[in-house]
Amino acid sequence: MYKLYKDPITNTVNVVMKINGNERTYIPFDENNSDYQEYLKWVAEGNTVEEAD
Amino acid sequence: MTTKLRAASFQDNAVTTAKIAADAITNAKIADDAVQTENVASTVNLGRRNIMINGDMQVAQRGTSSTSTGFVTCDRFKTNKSGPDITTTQHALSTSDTPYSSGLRNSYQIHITDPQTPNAAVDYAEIAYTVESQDMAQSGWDYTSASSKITLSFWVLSTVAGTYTVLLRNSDPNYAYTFNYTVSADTWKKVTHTISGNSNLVFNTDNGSGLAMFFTLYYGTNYTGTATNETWAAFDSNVQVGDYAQNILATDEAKFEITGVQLEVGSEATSFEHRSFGEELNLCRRYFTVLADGSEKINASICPGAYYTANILFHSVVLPVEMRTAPSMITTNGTNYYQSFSNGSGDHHDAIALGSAGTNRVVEIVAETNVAATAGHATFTRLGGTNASAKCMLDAEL
Repeated sequence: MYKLYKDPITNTVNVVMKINGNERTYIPFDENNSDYQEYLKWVAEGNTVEEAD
Repeated sequence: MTTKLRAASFQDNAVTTAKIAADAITNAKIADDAVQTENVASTVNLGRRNIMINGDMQVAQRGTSSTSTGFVTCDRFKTNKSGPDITTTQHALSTSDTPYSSGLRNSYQIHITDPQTPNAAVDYAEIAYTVESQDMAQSGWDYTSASSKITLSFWVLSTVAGTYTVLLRNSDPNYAYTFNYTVSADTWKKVTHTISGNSNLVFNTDNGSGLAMFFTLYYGTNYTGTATNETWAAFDSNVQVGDYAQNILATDEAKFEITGVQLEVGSEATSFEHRSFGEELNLCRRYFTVLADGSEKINASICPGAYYTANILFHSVVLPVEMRTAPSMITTNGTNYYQSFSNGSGDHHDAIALGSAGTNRVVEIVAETNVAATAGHATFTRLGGTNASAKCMLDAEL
């Protein structure tokens, strides 16, 4: 499951969080990042990311 | 009177190779310093040879054993599978293992702990490694020329005899190459294979995927067929490798392991290039870095920072090595998993997160869950000392 993460200092969303139990993988919006590529593929498959708090 | 033949007595080109008996020139007959650098052919690969990192499996920042898949033990090497339950291990070699005498102390081992219900069509398993594209582009391999070669060598042991396949993929044009090797059960084998360039290969000078190598244990029939080995061709997902005659994944307690993996420019496999632990570790850190791991030290220090507000902590971490790309941050959340100290006391809090302005050189770590202190105070943050699963790791793998 993915959830967007809002930076509390800049109040911007440039990170998405992958949640697996109590483990969190914070993924920057960087097209060279393999986790971000995997996230984009997940979205392209029709999945919807949870909005940031 | 004895007349000696002197070098000046011979006409130029009088002594040809054919006139020198085999074994006639021994090391003892070669004077010190007789062989100079200029005598070594330019095709001999001197100096840094191994394009791969951690081929001797000595670095395992994530841990030494795991039942998960992906990057789980030895750095840079990855387990992919579908089907059986397996355990991946950084396996310590002993003197009874043949590669041990070559200075290799660890292997990457996959142990089939439970075959479950084998499915000969969809099951598969492989050990994967990917070389960064710019490292292939700048390796010295004239990869678009069929006369230019690279050589892959590695030690392998399988408890199940048979013929196994290595699959190589060049992702930019999506070209692939396969070759087979055969092993006897429970017997270490040194595999060497030389690969020619091909005009279709493309390695961009960037940090993306360059050459991916898959040391396959078994591929189900959904991915196999009549394959043409030892030639570059467009990748076919339906026939990635030739059909497997044996299925190690269906064999309870079977083991497959590799070590001493080396990819080098040229047509000869030289001896494995041993590098120090520190050097190998720093090479690995381009792709994965541990800032703190509670399983090693439950209150391990992470980094200094400051309270941006009374309820928001900010940290900036200069990375020990510039990473391949802006990394992901892997962490765990839980009550009091982290603690920040300021003004003579500690502030336990529950989570840390990745800030938005990080790069591959500096990352920002923020905390806002159950944070309570005084704005503006400097702090240093540790794992909370409450749970060994607390951690902070950075991942920029391919």
